[in-house]
Amino acid sequence: MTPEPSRVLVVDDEPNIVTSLEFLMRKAGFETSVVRDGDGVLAEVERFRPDLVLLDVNLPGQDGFSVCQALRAAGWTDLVVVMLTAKGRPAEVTRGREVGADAYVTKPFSTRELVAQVRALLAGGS
Amino acid sequence: MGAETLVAVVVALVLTATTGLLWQERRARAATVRRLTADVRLLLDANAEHRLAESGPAGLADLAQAVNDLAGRRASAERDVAHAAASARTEIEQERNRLAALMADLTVAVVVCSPGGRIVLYNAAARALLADDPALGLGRSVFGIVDRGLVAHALDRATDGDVRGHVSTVLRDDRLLQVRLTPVRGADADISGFVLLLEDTGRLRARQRHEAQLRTLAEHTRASAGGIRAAVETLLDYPGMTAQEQAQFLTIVAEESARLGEQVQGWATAAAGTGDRDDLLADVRSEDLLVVLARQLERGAGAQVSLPDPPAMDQPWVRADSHALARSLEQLAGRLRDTCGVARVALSLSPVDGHARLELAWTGPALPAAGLEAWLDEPPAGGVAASSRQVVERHDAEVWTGASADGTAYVRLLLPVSQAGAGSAPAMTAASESRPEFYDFDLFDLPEQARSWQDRKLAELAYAVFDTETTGFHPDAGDEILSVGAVRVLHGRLLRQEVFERLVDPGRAVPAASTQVHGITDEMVRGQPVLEEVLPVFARFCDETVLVGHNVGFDLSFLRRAESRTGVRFTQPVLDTLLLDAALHPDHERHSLEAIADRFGLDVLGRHTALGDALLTGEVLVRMLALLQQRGITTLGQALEASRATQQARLDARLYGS
Repeated sequence: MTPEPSRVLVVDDEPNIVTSLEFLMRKAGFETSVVRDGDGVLAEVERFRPDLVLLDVNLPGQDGFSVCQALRAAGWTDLVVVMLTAKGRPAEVTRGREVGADAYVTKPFSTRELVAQVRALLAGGS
Repeated sequence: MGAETLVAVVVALVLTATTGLLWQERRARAATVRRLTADVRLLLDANAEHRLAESGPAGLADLAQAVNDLAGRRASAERDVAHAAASARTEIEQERNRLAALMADLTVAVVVCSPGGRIVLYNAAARALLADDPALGLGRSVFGIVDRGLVAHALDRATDGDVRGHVSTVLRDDRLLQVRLTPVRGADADISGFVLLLEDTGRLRARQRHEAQLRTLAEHTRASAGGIRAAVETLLDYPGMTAQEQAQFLTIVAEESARLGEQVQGWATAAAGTGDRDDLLADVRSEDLLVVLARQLERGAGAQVSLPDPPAMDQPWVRADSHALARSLEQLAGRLRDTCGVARVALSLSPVDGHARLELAWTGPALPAAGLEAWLDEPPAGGVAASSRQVVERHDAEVWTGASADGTAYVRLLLPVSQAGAGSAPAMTAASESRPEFYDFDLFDLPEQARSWQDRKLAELAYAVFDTETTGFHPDAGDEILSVGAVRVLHGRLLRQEVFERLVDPGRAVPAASTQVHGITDEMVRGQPVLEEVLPVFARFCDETVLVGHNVGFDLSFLRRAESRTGVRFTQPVLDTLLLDAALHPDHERHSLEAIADRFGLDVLGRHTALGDALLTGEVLVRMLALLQQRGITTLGQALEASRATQQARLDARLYGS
C-alpha cells in the first residue's frame, strides 16, 4: 500500500506566488490547499489537517506571526510551519523563530531550494 | 571763732567736698564714655560678637544696653543675609552641576560659548571628538575651531528670525566637521551666547556613501526588471519561436530574476545599515536599561515592577534610546492598567539569536493584537517626539504580544544588541564618573573687549603653566628639549583635563646623567615628533594665555633658541613662580619648587616629568594668585612689577652681597 501523500497548506494573498507554489507542491507529490488571508487559517487547518504550512507574513487580517502563534497556542505543535516573507530583517527572522516557526524563507526564493527544504522538513518530521 | 566764721568754714568745706565729688564723678563718666566708644569701635570694625558692659552711671548703662540690642539685631540680620546668600550659591552650584552632569552624558558633542565666542562649557563627547586639539579649552576662543565669519553669518541669520543657523567648517588637520549653531537668547531677547553641536563628518560621509549605494541599487534593479519584462513579453508575443530561442529567453528570465533577488537583499542590508547609525541609539548596559524602564513604569504609570534577580543577559550591552523606550513602555503600562486592570508587571531582558528580547509580563489575559496596535499608534507623550511605533521602528525592533501556558501574558520587543562590544560606552561612563570640570560659567561675565595685558586682573587671566625636560643645561652648547608638559589655569582653577604632554626627538643622544633626572631614554624619544612639529601645537595650547614656569628663564632659553628653526615665537607675558615666591616670601631663603610645595603642603608625587612638574607648578600658582590678591597685587602689570623688583633684588644680592 502506497503511503498517503503529505498535505501542504499554502497561505498567501499574492495570486502569482500562490499559483507557482500550488503548482510546485503538486508536482512534488503533495496534496495542497490554499488560504488567502490570516483569519481563515485556523479553520482550514482543522479541516484539511496539513503536515506543513507555507505561511506568508504579510496577510490581510492576522499577520503570519500571529497565525503561527495562534496555531501553536491551539495545540498544533507537530505541524511544520515555514514562514515566507518579503521582509528579511534579522529581528523578523528571530521573531519568526520565537513565535514557533520551523523555518523562515525570504522572498524572492529559489523554487528548487524551497521544494528541497519542504521535503527535508517533512522527512525529518515523520 | 564766731558763728559766722564757723558757718563760712562749713560752707567752704561742703563746697570743696561737693566740687571734688562732682569732679570725680565727671572723670569716671568720661572714662566710661571713652571705654564705651572704644568698645563700639571694636564692635563695628573687628568683632561683631563683642558686647558692651552694661554697668556704670545711669544713662550710660542704658546707652550700652541699647547699643548691645542694636548689635544683636545687626548680627542676626547679617546671619540671615549670609544664610540666604549661601543657599542661593548652593542652588546655583547645584544647577551647574546638574547641567554639567547632563552634558557629560550626551553622546553629541556640545560646545557652549559666550557672545564673544569664549568657550564656557564643553562635554566629554566634544573632548572625544576633538581628541588632541588644544583649540578646545575653557575660556579659549571658539574661532580656533569654527571660522569666525561663518559663526557671524549664522548669528545674523538667527537674528533675522532663522531659528537655526547651519554652518560647516574645515579643521586644521583636514578633518571635516559639521557644525550646527543655535543662539541662546537672554531675558531681553538679545543673544547671550550660542551652542554648537559638532558632528564628525566621517558619519556624514558614510551617509553620503549610503545614498550613493541606494542610487546604484535602484539603477540595477530597474535594469534587471527591464530585462525580465522584455524577455517575458517576447516569449508571450512570439509563441512560434524555436525551442532553442525559447530556452534562450527563459535563461535570461532566470538569470535576471536571480540578480534581482541579490539586489533586493542589498536593499535590505543597506536599510539595516542606516538603523545602526541612528545617533539617538546609545549603548546601554542591560541592567541599567531595566532599572531606568522600571523606574519610569513605577513613577509614570504607577505600576509595581519586579526585575529579574540576578539579571540574565550574557551580552550586557543593548543599543537603545532608553528615554524614548521608557516613555513608550509607560504608555503601554498605562494602557494595561486601564484596559486589563494590570497593576503588577515583570520586566526582563534575555539574549535571543543576537538580539535582546525585552519582555513586559503580567498575570492575566493577553493584550489583544488590536490593543497592541492602538498602543503603537498612541500619540506621543512626555517630551518624546515619536509614537511608540516610531520608537520601535527606530530600534529596528520587532514587537508582539502573547500568552504563555502558565497564565502569564506578555509583550515582547526584540532590541538590537551593541555591535561594537560597547567599547566606547565604558570610556564615556568613566569620564562622567570623574566629572571633569569642562565648564566655567564665570566666563559669561567676563568683559569681552581686549584690555591691554598690563591692566588685566590676575584672577581673570588664563595661564599655561609649563615645564620642559632637556638633555642638559646649555641650549647654546647643543642641549635640546626632550619633553614638554603643560596645564592650563583659569579663574584660579587648575584644569587637569586641559593638559599638553609630548615627548620630543632631540636628534641627538640623551646623556645618561640627564636620564637619571627625568628618566627619558634614547628609546623613548626615538621616532617621536621633532621640536619643529611639537612647538607649533604647543604654541596653540598657549594661545591667549600668560606663560608660567618655575625658574622659567631656563625653559624660555630653549624656546628662544629654537625660534629661528621652528618659526614659533612666544610673545605673551611670562610669570615665574620662583620670582613670585621671592616677592611673597622675601624672608624665606629657599624658593625651589620642592620648598614652595612643602610650604603649601602640596604632594610632590610625579615630579620630574615635564607634565608632573607643570601640574605641581600649576598648583603652586593657584595658591600664589590668592596670596598676591591679599597683598594688593591684583593686575598682571603689578605682578610683573613685583617680579622685576625681586629679580633686581636677587641680582643685587648676588652682585653686592646683602
